[in-house]
Amino acid sequence: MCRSKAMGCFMSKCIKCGVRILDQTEVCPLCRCVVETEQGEAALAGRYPDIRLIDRKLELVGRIVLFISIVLGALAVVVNYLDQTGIWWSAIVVGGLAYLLLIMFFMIQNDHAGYRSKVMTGMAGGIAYLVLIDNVLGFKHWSLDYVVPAALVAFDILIVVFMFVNIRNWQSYLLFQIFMILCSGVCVILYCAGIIKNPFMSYVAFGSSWVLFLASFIIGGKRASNELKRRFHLM
Amino acid sequence: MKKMENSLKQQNRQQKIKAPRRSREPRWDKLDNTAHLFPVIAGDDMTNVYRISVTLKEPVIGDTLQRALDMVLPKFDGFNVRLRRGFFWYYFEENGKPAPEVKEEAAYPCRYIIQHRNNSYLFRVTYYKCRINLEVFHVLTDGMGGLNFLKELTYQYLRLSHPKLREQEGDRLSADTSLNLEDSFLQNYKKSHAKNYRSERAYIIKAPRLHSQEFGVMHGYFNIPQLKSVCKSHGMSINEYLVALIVWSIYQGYLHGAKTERPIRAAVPVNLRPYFNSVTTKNFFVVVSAEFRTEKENYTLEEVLQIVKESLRAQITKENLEDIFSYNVSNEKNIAMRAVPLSIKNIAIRSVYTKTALANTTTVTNIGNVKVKEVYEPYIEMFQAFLAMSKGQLLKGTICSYQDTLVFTFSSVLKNPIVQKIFFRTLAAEGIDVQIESNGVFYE
Repeated sequence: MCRSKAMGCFMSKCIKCGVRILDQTEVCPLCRCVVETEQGEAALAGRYPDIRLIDRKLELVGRIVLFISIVLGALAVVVNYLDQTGIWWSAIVVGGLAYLLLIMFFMIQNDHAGYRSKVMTGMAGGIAYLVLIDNVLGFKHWSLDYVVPAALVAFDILIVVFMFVNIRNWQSYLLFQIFMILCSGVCVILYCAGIIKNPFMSYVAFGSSWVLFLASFIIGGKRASNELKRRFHLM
Repeated sequence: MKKMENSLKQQNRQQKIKAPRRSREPRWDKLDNTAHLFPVIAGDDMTNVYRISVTLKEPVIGDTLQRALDMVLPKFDGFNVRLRRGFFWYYFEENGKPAPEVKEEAAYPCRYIIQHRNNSYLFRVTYYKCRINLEVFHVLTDGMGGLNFLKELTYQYLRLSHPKLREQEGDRLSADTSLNLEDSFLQNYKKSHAKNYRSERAYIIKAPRLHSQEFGVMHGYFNIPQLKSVCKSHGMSINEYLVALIVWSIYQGYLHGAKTERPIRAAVPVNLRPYFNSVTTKNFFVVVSAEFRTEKENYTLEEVLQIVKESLRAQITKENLEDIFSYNVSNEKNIAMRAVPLSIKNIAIRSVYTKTALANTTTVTNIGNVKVKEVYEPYIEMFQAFLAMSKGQLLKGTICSYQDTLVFTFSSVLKNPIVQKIFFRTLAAEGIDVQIESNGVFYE
C-alpha cells in the first residue's frame, strides 16, 4: 500500500485529517494544519511539476493598446463634435482603431483560431473599414463597386495559394470556394438591387469564384467529389 | 538555449518522419452519438479533455516515448484523425501528419487541445519523471478507448526501453487490444424512446475559485481489500460507496446538513460495453445521476449512503441505460434534424447541454480496475485518471484502480478543498488508510 517507498517521495501525516501526505509539505493541503513527518522517509521532489502562471507580457501590452485606443477614439469623437465641419471623420479614426484591435487580439494574440479564419477575418475587417470610409466621405460607391468584389477576387487568389501550399489537403478548400461563390453572388444581387452601380468587378469576382470551383472540381475528380460528399453528409 | 535545442530536435524529427505523401483518398468517419456534443461546447473553460496516466517504476525518457508514439499511432485509426467541419455534421478525417510532439509536462492538466498547434491531433502525450500522461479530447473516445491506447503506448515504450522485452514480445499490438471503431450507439439503440434523463437544475457549488487557468488535482490512494470490507459493511459496491461519499461531502461541506430545494446530484457515466457486448474504441457510455434530495435536516452518513445506493441501483439497469441513449440516437436519426445546418444544430446542442450540465452538481466516473499484460507488470507502478471541469461542475472525481490500490482523484477549480477534506477524513474515520497527493495548487 505504501506508495512512498516505491516512488521515493516524502511522507508526512496530518493528525487532524488522519491521512498520510505524499507531497513535500509542512502543512496539510486539506486543513492547513502542520503535519507530522514520519521517521525514515526521505524528502524527495514531488510528482507534479511546479507550475507558476506565466506572466503574459503580451496580454499587458494588449490591455495598454486597448486603453490608448479608447482614449484616442473618444478624443477624436470629441474634437470632431467641436469642430463641426459636417464630416464625421472621427468614425474613420474609431474604425481604424477598431481594425487595429481586431488584428491585435484576433490575429496576433489568439492561439485558437487557425490561419484560414485569421486571414478571412482580417480581410473582412479591412473591407468593412473601407466601406465605412466610403460612407463617411459621402458614399460614392467605390467601396461596393470596386473594393468588395476586388477583395473577393483576392480571396480566390489566396485560396489557390493555400491549395498549393497545403497540396496534400488541397480538397479541403472546396467548401471555402463554395462560400466565395455565395459571397460574390451577393455582389451580383446587390447590383440587381441597385446598390452596386458598376457591375464590372462584381461579375469578375462571380466569374473567378465559379472558375476556381469548377476547375478544382473537374480536375480534382473523385477526390473533389468525395470531399463534397463528406462535407455535406447527412448521416 | 534549451528552446533552440528542442526546436532543432523537432526539426530533425520532422525530417526523419516525413508524413507519407497521400496518394489515396483520406479515410473518414462519422462522429458517434455522444461525440457530436464535444466540439460544440469545448473551449478554454470547458475543455472536455480527460487525462489517463500511467506511472512506471523508472523515469520516462522523452525521446523513447516519442518513438513509441510514432510506432503505435498509425495502428490506431481512431486516434490518427483530425476533426473536420461539414455543412451538416462534424466528421473525422485521417490525419496524414506526423504524431504530435511528446513534451515534458509543463502546464496544468487537461488544457484545451488547440488542433492546429498539435499537428491537428485530438490528444496529447506528455511525461513527467516516471509518469506518462495521455490527454484526450472526449470527441475521440471515452476512458475505455483512451486506456486501450495508453496501454499499447506504454507497452511499446517499455519494449523500446528494455530490448529483452522487445525480443520476447515483438512490436505487435497485444491480443486484448481492440481496434474496433463501430458506433455502438447506432448498433444497439431502440426506436422511438421518450426523453429519459434529468434536466431539472441541481444544487450547484458556488465558492471562490483558483486563479484562471489553474487546475487542482488531488489523488487519494486506498487499499482495495480494506475499502471492500468497509463497503461490504454498508452493503454497497465500491463505486456506489465512493459516489455516495462525494455527495455526503458536498452535503456536509457546502450545505452543512441543511435542507435545500435543489437536490445534490452526481453524474455517473456508465460504460455500456459490458451491457451490449461491445468492444468499440469510440465513445459508448451514458450518464445516470445519483440523486440526494433533502427532505429534512441533518441526514446521517448512513442515510445518505443508502439513498444514493438506491438511486443508482434504480437507474443502472440495461433497460434504463438503453432508454437513455436511444432517445439521443432517435434525435440524431430524425431526418428533419439531420438536414439542419450545423451552425443551427450547434445552438440547439449548446442549449440542451447547458440544461443537462446544470442538472448535476458533480461527476464521478470510474475507469475500473486496469489490467496489464503480466510481462509488463513489473515495470508499472499505477494508473491515474481525471476529468476537466464542465459547466456548473467545478469539482469532479475519478476512480481508477490497479492491482491492490484504488486511486480516487479529485480534479477541481475550487480554491478550498472542502469536499476533499470531508471525503478523505470520512474514509480515514471508517478505518481506511488514506494517502493523498496533490499537484500543489492548494498550498498557495
